[in-house]
Amino acid sequence: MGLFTGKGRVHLAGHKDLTMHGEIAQCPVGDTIAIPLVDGTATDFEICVKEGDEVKIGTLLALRKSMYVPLYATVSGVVTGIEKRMHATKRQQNHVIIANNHLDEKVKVIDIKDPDHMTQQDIIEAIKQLGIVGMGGSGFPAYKKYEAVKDIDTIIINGVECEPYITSDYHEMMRQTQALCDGAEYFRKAAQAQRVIIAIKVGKPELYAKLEATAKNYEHITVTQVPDVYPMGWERLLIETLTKRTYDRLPSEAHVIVDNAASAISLSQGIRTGMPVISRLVTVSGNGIKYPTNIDVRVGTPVHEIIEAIGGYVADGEGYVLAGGPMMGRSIMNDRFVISEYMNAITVLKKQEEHTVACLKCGECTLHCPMHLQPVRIMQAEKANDSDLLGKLDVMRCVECGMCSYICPSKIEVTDFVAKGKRRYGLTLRRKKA
Amino acid sequence: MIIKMKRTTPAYRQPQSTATIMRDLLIAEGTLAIASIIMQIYRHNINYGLKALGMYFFAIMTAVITEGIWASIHQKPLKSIVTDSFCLNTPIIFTLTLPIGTPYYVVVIGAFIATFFGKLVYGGFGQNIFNPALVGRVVVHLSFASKLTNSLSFVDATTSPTPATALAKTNWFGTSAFHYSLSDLLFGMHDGALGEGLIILLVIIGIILALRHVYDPRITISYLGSVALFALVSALVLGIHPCVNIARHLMLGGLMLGAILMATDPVTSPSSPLGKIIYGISLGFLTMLIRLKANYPEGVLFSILIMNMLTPWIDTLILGRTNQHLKKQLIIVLVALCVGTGIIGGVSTTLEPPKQSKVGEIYEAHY
Repeated sequence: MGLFTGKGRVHLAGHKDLTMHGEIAQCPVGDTIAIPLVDGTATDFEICVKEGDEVKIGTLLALRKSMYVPLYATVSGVVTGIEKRMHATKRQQNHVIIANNHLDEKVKVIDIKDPDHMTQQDIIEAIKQLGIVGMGGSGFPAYKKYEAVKDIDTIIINGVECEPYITSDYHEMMRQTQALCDGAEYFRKAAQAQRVIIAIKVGKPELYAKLEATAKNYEHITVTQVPDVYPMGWERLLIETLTKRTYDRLPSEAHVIVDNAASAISLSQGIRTGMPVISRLVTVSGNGIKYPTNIDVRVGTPVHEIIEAIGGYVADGEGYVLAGGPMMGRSIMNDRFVISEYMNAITVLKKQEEHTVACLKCGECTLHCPMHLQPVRIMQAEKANDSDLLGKLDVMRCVECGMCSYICPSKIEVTDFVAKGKRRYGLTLRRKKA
Repeated sequence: MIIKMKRTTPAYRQPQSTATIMRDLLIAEGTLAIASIIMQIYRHNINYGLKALGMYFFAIMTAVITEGIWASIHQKPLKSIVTDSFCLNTPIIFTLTLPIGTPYYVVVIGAFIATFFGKLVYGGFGQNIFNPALVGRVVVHLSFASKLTNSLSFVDATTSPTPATALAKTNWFGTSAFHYSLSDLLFGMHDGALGEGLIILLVIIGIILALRHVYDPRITISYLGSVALFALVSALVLGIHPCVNIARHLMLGGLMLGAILMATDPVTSPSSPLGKIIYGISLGFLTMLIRLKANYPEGVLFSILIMNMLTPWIDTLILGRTNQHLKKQLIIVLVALCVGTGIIGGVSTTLEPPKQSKVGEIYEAHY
């Protein structure tokens, strides 16, 4: 903890035991599946199918225009249309609707003859064609990090899962340990890096032992445990903790690429089977869920079907349905939105009234900000509509991790004010350019 | 379950709240108040204890009534004076700074000024510029100085000067005319404000509160640390025992009370880590300067009020990310310490040992 910089991290009550030890459930695949035409926050997709088209699992549905991101069908059946539906971005978005014929006919996306002897270019092309994205929640296309790869010496496989309640990566790593190391090795080859570090949180002895045992067979892979603090899974903090390196904008400045554990597993499976991500493990947890559990879900399944499959919500009261964990997950107004391949959790929390009092200016948010910003001052500047000051306070660096609101003793929505400040300053910048 | 939408993230909050912080503070202040009452009974008699109890009672009643009227004028629920405005903390801290001889009407006036002019007129809790308790204290000090005595005149009239006054009379040399030993200071065996002598309890409470994250120890440590540093410099210049001088200055007057309960008031102190450190150093510097050179032997009250004024400016010392320009931040701190050391050292050279004739007078002057 720095004298001038504060802590920038905090231990959270994890509530992970709710879903840590239980069985993994299987969610039945519904009669209709909706594939959202959204990648992260981008929605610029060119649709490659039309109403009435027959599709199989792996049929290309749409391509992103600004960068190559393919979306594949996850069931076989007939396209019944393009519909606007509620999405995890909190907005109505276009979805490709497919009527499932329950035949599960497959078509390979890529066909790799010799998966054990692939060149660097082959692997990067495979990552691109498989549509591997950051499966920790960002949805950022992974090949982008490898396209212009240069001077990378370390690949970090992020299995930290620092948000409370979420255990999907834990379970996925437990059952797919072999694929995880295999995928990690592909990422290493794609970047021509010297080493791979698989990072998990402390306090998971079984997983650590299993990973260690598997990693022994790979000469470049090591497994490291990191402290149980939030936001340990954030790549900047993870890189700093593991390599003692800092960077300004992108991890590649520190000669590191970070990939999510689930992405590595998907890559390995994709290369070995030729199929894109068609289902994923999702943690459905929180105090608003009757039986919190991890469940295998076909991508494109609406959340209400998943929740029905595991026993529903608690009976009484009001609550929030969050796409993601309780810190960064967004509250969605209904449970009709669908699961994307990069969505690792649904958290349902009972509504809790917080009594907000005046800001004390105690500076706890400044002390805990992982980016070492000063949220209390950004909030003052935002309230005063002072764009210049917002710029000086480096507001654009905020990653909206939610730490300032979490820590605020006065229960003020600090993160919200900072996010507003970001938008205000962004507008000012655009106006200046214009 | 009915699904509601929450417009903001995160939906997850830490257990500590402003209410629990203020509750912890209230417990700490209550403990100090009770200890100060016991101390009065132990050092004098039951009448002193009752007087102290009465002072706390009148101060709290004044604050509660003032806030209650204010809340009803502004059509807020009466409950909010405790849940939102935390009206009990200010009067207790205010009373802790008063000497035992303060008449009840002065307590009432001071508590009213602290609550009304110190806090409510600025817009209530969280909006005030100055530490409310100290606003009350300074008005009382300037208006009723002769009433703030260390004895109850109807019980007995003998009185001795506070350690700060006594030490000031020796021109801060602490010659044999200064008849308080270090253990007297440590155990509070002297007259002074109600909360002044409770050094051991204050340190314990300070550590507990810091561990419970009730306040940021950066201010307290830099305040006490810089006072210790400047006392060391002063001792070297004056040619007296450095350790004794440091211990005396740390335990003198309201320094511990101020450093732990008043300077750390988050509302009136800077929010950035660098700002807090600079704030603490400046407080130490001003306290020592006022002690050594100003007419008033006790510098905590004025130094905190002066630094309250400078808080917004200190906050502008660092904009942007706090992990940038670490060298510059360190230099700012070192420069502040060097300037302070230089000035306090220079000021100390102007002090001369007290003349013999003055020694006899020290028992007469007191506040």
